[in-house]
Amino acid sequence: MTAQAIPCWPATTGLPMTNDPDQTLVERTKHGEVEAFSALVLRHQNAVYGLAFRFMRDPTAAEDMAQEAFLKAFRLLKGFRGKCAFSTWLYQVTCSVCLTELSRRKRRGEVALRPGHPEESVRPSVESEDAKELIRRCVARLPERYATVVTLYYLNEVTYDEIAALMCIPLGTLKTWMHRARKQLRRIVEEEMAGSRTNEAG
Amino acid sequence: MKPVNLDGLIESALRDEPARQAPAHLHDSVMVRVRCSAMLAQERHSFLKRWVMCAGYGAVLLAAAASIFRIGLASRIVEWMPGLAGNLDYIRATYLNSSALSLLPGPAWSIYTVASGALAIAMAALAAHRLSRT
Repeated sequence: MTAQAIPCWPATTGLPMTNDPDQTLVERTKHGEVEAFSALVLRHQNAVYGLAFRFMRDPTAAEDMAQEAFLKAFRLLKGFRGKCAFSTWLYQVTCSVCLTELSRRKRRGEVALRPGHPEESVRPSVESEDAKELIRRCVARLPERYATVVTLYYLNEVTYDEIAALMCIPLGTLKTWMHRARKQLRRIVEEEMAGSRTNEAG
Repeated sequence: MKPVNLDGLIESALRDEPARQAPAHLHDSVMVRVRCSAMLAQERHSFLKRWVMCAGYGAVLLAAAASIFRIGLASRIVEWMPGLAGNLDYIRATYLNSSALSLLPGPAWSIYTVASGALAIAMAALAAHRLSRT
C-alpha cells in the first residue's frame, strides 16, 4: 500500500487539524488512539523497512529492526515535539535501533561485521551488482555517527538541514562528518576489495 | 588496465540502492506488539494508582490511630515511663521555654491534636477521591 493511499480521517477527539497528516495522527496517538498509530505504521513501513535493510543487509533482521523501531517510536512518541517531520524522527529512531543491534552483535561476536558472506568467494567485478552490495555492507562498519549520516543522506528523503537538526549539530559539522565518512568508507572498501583479491589468489 | 573510479562507484552504489517493500505481515506484527505494549503501560499505571490509593488509605488509618493514641494514651505512657516524662520535662524546660509549644496548656494540646488529625483525614480522603477519578 502506498503512503498516498492511507486514509487520514478527521480527528475524533477535538484535536486541532494540521496540514501535515502525520502530525494529526501523531497527536491522536498521543491522546491514546492506537488506531492512529496503525495508520502511521502503514504510511511509513516501507521506508522504515528499507532503512533497516540498509543497515542489516538481511530481510529477517531488517523486519525485526523495523518492528523494534516502530515499538520504540510508539513508546517515545510523547517526547516527540514536532521540531522536525515525523518521518525524519522515525528514521532517526530506526537508525538508533539498527546501530544498537549491530554493536550488540559485534560485542557478542555473533556476526563478524565484514561485508559479504564467507561463502562468497567470487571476486566482485567492478561496477557489478556484487561490488555495489559489498560497498553497501561496508557502511555498517563506519563509526555510528558516520553510518547514520551517510545512510540518512542517501535515503534521499531527508535534507542536510534535517539531518543536522536531528543529530543536534551545526550544518558545518555535518558536512565535515560526511567528508570524513566518505573518506573512511573509501578506505574500508579498498581493504575489502584487496581482501577479496587476496582470497581469490590464495 | 582501466583505473577504477572508486568514489563514483561508492556514490552510485549508495544512491542507486533499490527501494524495498516491507513484508505484508509487518504492519500486523507491529500492531500486535504495540497493542500489548499499550496494555502493559495501562496495567502498570493502574497498579501504581492502586498502590498510591492503598498508601493514602494507610496514611488515613495511621493519622486516625495517631490521633486516638495521643488523646487517650499519652498521659498513661507518661505514667508508665517516669524517666521519659522527666526527660521530656527537662527538654521542655531547657529548650522550649520560648516556643509556642511550651505555652500550650493541656486541653489546648488535645484540641490541636484532634484538629490536625481531622485535617489529615480530610486531606487523605480528598487525595484518594481525586486519584480514584484519574
